[in-house]
Amino acid sequence: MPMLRRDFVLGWKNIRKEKYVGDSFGYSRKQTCVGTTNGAGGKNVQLFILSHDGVVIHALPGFWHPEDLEHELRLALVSFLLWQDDGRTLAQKRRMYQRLVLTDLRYQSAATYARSDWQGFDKFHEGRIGGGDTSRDTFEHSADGKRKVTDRGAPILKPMNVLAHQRMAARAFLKFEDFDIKAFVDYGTRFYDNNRGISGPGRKLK
Amino acid sequence: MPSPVTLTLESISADPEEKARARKEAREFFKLKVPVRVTAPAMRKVTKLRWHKTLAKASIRARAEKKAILWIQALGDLKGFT
Repeated sequence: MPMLRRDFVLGWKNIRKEKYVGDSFGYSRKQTCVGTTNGAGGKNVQLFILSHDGVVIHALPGFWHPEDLEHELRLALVSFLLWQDDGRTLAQKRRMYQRLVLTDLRYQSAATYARSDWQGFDKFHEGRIGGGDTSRDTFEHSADGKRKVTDRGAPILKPMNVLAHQRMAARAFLKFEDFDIKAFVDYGTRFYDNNRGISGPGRKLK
Repeated sequence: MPSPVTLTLESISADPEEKARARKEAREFFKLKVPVRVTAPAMRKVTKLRWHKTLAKASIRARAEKKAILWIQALGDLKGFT
């Protein structure tokens, strides 16, 4: 909380009318909160860290565990300093940002990786739609373009922290209006009613 | 983007106990249910913060205060349903 107040100017936009969103309105802030995986609900929630001149400094799709969110916001503040550095060219800044977000993945904790697993329904959907599509970046690929597989032969889905950072590395310091949100949140299924009915049934998805 | 190194929970740690602990804690977190009486004070603090409704206004303030903007896009209202 102090970080939000101290380091950021805050803004909120309801994206109900955007074409890439799923469905919800089944949850009130007066209901029980439940834990979830990092990146869950990426089509319905996105966090952008922006500069005042409209550049995307960092972005996250979906919900994130508080510890992981704090880490990502700190990374964003470092990236913001890099963006403000007048001594570097745009190309240099982009290369440094790419290195920063990709290197950061190697130092993230096992706990973060465990929290960055996929929702079961998203994993199922991804396996189905990505079955014949070897270009889909949600799966790990080797240099020859083939999917990497586990010891048991199952295709390896990238953990959400890895997917989010790699997608950001490919979108380093883009203007917000050029940032393709639909592609950034393109993983898993668009519609799935995950309401566990803890504080009542909520509104049913249409 | 082909990645030279496969980064997963399996590869990020060589310590089986650490991985087992991380998995167990994550599973417990996914099952977590926090009732509104516990979350309400934090909710009140968050909703009392100054949330700009337009990016243009947030940008003007960010420029003046030399800060970055945390811009949240969500299906629903900050004080209502999501």
